[in-house]
Amino acid sequence: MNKSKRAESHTSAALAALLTEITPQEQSRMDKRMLLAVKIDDAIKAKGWSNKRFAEEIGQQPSVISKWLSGTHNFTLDTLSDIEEKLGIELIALTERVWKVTKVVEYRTVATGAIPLSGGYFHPYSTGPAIDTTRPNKKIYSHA
Amino acid sequence: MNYRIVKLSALSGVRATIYSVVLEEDEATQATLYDRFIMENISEYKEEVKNIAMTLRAIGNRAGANDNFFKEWEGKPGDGVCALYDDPEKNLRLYCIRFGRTVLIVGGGGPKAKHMQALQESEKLTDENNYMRTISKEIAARIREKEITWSEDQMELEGDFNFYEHE
Repeated sequence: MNKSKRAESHTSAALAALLTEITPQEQSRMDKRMLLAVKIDDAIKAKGWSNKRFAEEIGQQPSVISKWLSGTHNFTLDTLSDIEEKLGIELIALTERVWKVTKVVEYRTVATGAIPLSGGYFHPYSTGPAIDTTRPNKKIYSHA
Repeated sequence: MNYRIVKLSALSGVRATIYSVVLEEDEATQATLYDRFIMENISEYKEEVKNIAMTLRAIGNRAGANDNFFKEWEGKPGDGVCALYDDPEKNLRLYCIRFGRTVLIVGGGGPKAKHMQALQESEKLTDENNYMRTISKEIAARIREKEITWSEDQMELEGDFNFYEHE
């Protein structure tokens, strides 16, 4: 046997065949479960807590915490929300969409519908002449 | 016990390098202990075998070998021998040796009886666990002798991975 610096790279038919059966969606779910577990673990450590202390704080058995941190747990939204509150971290990224009026345009009703007069953008879902600043290239809407 | 350590490139990634072991008796087929685990269990526990492969690939590419992903103390204290975390309701156990968060050697394993707590109750698991204890001990000796060292980026082990007594 020759000595080598790095271990020989090994491929096997059994592993290759198994990996072809895993869909990207399945792998993505697993990745996220494990990354969530790491994020929670990091937050527990950042607080200086042991897993046992975290179990007490969140009112669970230590075995439940072990499962949460194992990367195999399929969390419910409620559990994630409780963990966020207890550890002061964000696990569920929810960005609220804020509609803001930055410019009011005049409009008038003509035979074919409502069109803006001053070159602004007419928001098709609003009841008034609001401007959708998140969609700046929006066309002027009119109805036939 | 003669064997060599090989890198499982299909599972390794930017977070961890995953290795397995080819025993001398398997040189003809080149099957690693992990290959044997797959082949022995895929017909009866296909979903669990798939889940384990996904877990290992996530460790290699996304999450690293975090200690919470394993059950420690499957060997002697401090020898790194552990098992991939398994729920009581799961059927399979897979033994590993963990070196920090970046290097993982995957061995074999097998079905565990639902009522079983002690390793000694399963001859197959005992054999697989003993392989890992021996391998862990011999790798530790080579690390002490600097025949195996960490790579500069701490992501791999480097050195002599052939453990044959009569080279």
